[in-house]
Amino acid sequence: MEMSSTNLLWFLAFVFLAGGNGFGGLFGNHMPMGQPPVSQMELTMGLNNQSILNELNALGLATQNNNYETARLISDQNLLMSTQNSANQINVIQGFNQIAGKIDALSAQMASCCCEIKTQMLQDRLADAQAKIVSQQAAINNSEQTQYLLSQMGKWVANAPAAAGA
Amino acid sequence: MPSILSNNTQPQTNNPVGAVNNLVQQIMNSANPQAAFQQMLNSSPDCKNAMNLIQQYGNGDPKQAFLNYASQTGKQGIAQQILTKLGLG
Repeated sequence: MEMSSTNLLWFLAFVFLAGGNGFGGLFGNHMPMGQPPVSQMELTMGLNNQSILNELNALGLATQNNNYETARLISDQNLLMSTQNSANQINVIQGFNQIAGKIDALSAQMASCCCEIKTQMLQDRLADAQAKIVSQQAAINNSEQTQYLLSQMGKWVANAPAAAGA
Repeated sequence: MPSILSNNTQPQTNNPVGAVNNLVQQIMNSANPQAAFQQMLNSSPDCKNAMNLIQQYGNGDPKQAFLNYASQTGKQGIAQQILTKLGLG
């Protein structure tokens, strides 16, 4: 039966016409149909059940809405925390980058300093080597002069000139 | 939440037309009219029996079933009385 006010009214009219002493007896139509009439209390209880079902449905819907809202708040909170964590991580990374930059600068300074020290050391070694060469050359010269003198002395001994007056 | 008939207990005796119209409106205005109607069927043997008779006498049409049932069972008098009181006649 299609649910409409008119059909519902005709349905109730038919209930009154064909009903027993309960609902159908509303107009004094006491015609038993072989079934016990429904009491006002029974009908009210039945419709109360419908009201309870409607309330349960509303409660279920409210619960679902609350769950959805809770999940949404948690999601928002998670997003906020994630954003804050990301910001913190970015700050940490930026801090690391700054430290890394300073380390790089310090490394460059150390490398430059080390290079200067090495250069100075090489220059010192070169100066030492040059000094040694000069010294050795002087020693060589001295040796050659000594040998020359000795040689001249030998010649002089071997061919000693007659002594004057001898 | 008050039941559909909770306000109709006394008026049904003194003013059945108002009670019926009120019942119709409350069912139609309920959150789920079909469920409310089905609940009424389940709670009332008269209503359940009426649904069977509507199929039998009117092929599912309550108005046709009312007219056929009245004529075939010799209840034209009470039928006319009901129609007059409900404003359907």
